[in-house]
Amino acid sequence: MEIPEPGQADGEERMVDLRPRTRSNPEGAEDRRSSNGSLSNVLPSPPQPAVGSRVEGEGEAASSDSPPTTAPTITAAAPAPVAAASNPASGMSAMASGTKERPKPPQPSSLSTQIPPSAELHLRAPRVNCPEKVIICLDLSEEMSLQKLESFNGSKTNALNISQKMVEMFVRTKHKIDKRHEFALVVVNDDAMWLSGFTSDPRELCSCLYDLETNVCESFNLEDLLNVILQKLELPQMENVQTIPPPFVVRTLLIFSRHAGMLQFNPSDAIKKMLQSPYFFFDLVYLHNGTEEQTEDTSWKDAYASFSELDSKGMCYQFEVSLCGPAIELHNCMAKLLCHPLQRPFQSHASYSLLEDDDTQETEATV
Amino acid sequence: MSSLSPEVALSRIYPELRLLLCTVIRNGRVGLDSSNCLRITDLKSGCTSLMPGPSCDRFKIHIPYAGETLKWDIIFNARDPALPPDFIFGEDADFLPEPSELTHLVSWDAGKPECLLLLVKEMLQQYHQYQCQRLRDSSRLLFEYDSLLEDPNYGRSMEIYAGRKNSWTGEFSARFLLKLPVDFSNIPIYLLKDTSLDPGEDVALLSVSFEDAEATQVFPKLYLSPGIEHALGGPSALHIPAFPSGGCLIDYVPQVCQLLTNKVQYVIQGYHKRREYIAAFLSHFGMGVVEYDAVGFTKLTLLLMWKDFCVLVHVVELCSVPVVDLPLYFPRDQPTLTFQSVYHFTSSGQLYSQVQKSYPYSPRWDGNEMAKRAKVYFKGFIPQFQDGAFANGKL
Repeated sequence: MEIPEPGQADGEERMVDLRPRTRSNPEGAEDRRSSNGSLSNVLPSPPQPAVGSRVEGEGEAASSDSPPTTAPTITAAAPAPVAAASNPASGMSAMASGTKERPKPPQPSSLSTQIPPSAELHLRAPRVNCPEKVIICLDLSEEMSLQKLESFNGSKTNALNISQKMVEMFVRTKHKIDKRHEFALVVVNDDAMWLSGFTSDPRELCSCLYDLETNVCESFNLEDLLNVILQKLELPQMENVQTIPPPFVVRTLLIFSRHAGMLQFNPSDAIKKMLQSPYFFFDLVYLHNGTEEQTEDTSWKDAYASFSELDSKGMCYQFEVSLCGPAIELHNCMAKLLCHPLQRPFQSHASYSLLEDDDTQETEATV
Repeated sequence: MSSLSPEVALSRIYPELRLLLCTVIRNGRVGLDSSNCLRITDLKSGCTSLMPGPSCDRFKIHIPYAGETLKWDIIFNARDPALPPDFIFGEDADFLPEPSELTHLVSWDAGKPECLLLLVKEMLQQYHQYQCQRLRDSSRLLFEYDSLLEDPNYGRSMEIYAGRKNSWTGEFSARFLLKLPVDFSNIPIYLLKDTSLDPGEDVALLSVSFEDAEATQVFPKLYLSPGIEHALGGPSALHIPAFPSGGCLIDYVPQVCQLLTNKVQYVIQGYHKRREYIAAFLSHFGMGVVEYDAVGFTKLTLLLMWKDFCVLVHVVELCSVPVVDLPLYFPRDQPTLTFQSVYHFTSSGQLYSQVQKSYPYSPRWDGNEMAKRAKVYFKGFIPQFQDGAFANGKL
C-alpha cells in the first residue's frame, strides 16, 4: 500500500486503489500487482492488505531501480557495494570500534541502495503479525557475572542480572501485545539445555529464569545449540511464501558473552535448511569486553562478525554491547528485539527517535 | 427422535439407495435458510427381517422452511430401488403436488446422485405455491404477498408459511421469510472467517410472523449467518425496528435492508479507517514499529526513544512502548494509548505502564493528521511518563 506523504490532505484517496481481501476480491491488493509478485514489482505493496509496508525503507520499491548486483552468494559478507551499510558485518568494520549499533539510516537518496543482496534471493513472508515462537538462549558463561555494567543508579551490576530483567520485560511485553506468542528458555554452558517452553505464559518462563548460575565454560558449541532447537521445531512450509502468512514464525534470541574467537561452524543440511527458512530468525545480543579505549583486543569483533553467517536472509537483528558500559544499552537492545521479525525494517533502517528533526525522520520513512 | 449422523444413516440405508441419500445428507441445502441442513430421522425398512445387510428404504426428512421444519416421509422400495419414492407430507394432507410438473419425478433416474435432492427442491417450490394459495383466506396477507411478489428484490426469495386456522377462534396466521438483498461481498474476509462451523453462504433472512389476519400482531426477526453476525459485532449488534402498526411489508422490508446495509458500510468503513490510521502511524513512526495487526488493523505497538536534554546527568536514551488499541467503533471512539516502560516494574511484578484515553483527538481528522497530533502528544507526555516511571517503578 502506498504510504501517504505527510501533510497530504487526500491521504485516504491514495489508499483507495488497493482493496482489502474480501469475498469479491479474495486476492486483496494483489489484483493491482503485476503477475510475477516478486521483489522487483513496481508497486511497493506486499500482496496482502498489510498496511504500511516498510517497502520504501527496505528498498523493495527501489529494487526495480537498482537491479540485483552480481553476488548470488548467501553469506552476509556482501561483496556487493550496494549492501555495504546494511550488512552487520561490513557495517561494523566500516565504523570505528565502540559504536553500539548500526549507523542511523542514511539520507533518502541512498536508501534505495540499502538492500542486502541475499534478501532478493530469499522469498519474504508477508508482513503479518503471526504468532512468534521465541527461543531465548541465555549464555551462562562466567563473563555474564562480571560486575562491570553500570546500572541506573551508578552501581555496578552484571550481565546475567540485567539479562534476567530484560528477558522478563521481553516476554511480558510480547504477551501483552499478542497472547498467542510463545516462549522457550535454553541455557548455554558447554552444551545447550532446553529449560522451559514452549509456553505462552510469561510467568512460566520467568519461573526458570532466576535460579541460574554462571560457570566457567570451555567452549561454545553453536551446532549443538542449533540442534537442540531443531529437535523441538517443525517449521511451517507454505505453498506460496510471499502471499500466504505462516501459522507462526520462530525466532532464536541469543544473549551471548563469550569471547570464543571466530565461530567454528559446520552446519548440517538440516541446520542449513532451518537457517534459510523464511520463517526462522536468529537474533543476537553479543556482550563483549571491548570499549572505545581498547584497541588491542578486538577479537570479539571477529566472533561477532561470524554470527552474521547465521543471517542468510539479512533480516535478523544483531547487537553488540559493551560489558563495561551502561546497562541501559542492554535494556534498549532488548526493547528493539521486541519487534516482530516479519514487520520490522532491516536493522540498518530501524529508527525509534522522537527527536525534533521531524522532517528528516518522516522523509526517510516515506521515501 | 434425534437425527442420525450422516455416516450412521448411510450405513443403514439400502446400498442401492445410498448415493441418492448421500447427496441429500451432504449437500442438502434447499430453500432460503442455507445454514440449516436437511436432516434424516426414523430410518425404517419395508423389507422382512430375513433380508441380510442394511435394508432401510424409508425415512423422515426434516426440511427448514419459512422458519418451520417440515417433516416429510420419503418411501422407497428396496425390492425395486430404481423406482422413485412416495412422499407423505406430514400433516399437510391438502398438499397435492401435480406429479407431471415435477420434472425430476417424471424423468426420475435413480442412478443420478442428485436426483432425490432436486426432486425435494421441486416439491418444496410447489409447497411454497400451495402455502401462498392459502393466503387467500386473508385479503390483508394476500395483499402483503402480492406487493412483495411484484418487487424483484424480494419476490424471488420468499418462503411463506400460512398456518392452520385455529378452529376455535377462526384465527389465521402466516410467516414470511425473506432473503434480504444486501451485498456482503465487501466485508473484509478476516471478519467473516472466525466461526468454527462452516458458515456456508453469507445471508440475511428476515422472518415476519403475522399472528392474526388483520396484521395487528406482527413480529419481525432478523437472522444473520454466523459469519455476518460476527462481522457486524455479534448477536446484539443489530436491532431492527418494530413493525409499525398499520404498516406493510413492502415499506418495512426495505427499511430493514437499509439498516443492514448501513451497518455493513459502517463496518467496512471502520476497517478502512483503521487501516488508514495504522498506515499513517507507520509512515510517521514506521522505523520503530514493534508489531501491528496486519489483518484487522486493530492494534499497533511503537518503540520510541526520547533523549534527555538535562546537561548534568549522563545523557540517557529512554525507551517507551506505547500500545494502541483500536476499538470497533473507531474512529468515533478514540483509541487507547498505553505507555509502558521497558525498565520499570510495579510492585506486583507487571511492567510499569500508564493508560491514556483522553488525549487530543478528533474523529474528523484523517489518519495522517491523527499521527501528527499523536507525535506531538508523545513528545509532551513521554518525558513526564518517564519521570513517573523512575519515581514510582522498580528497576
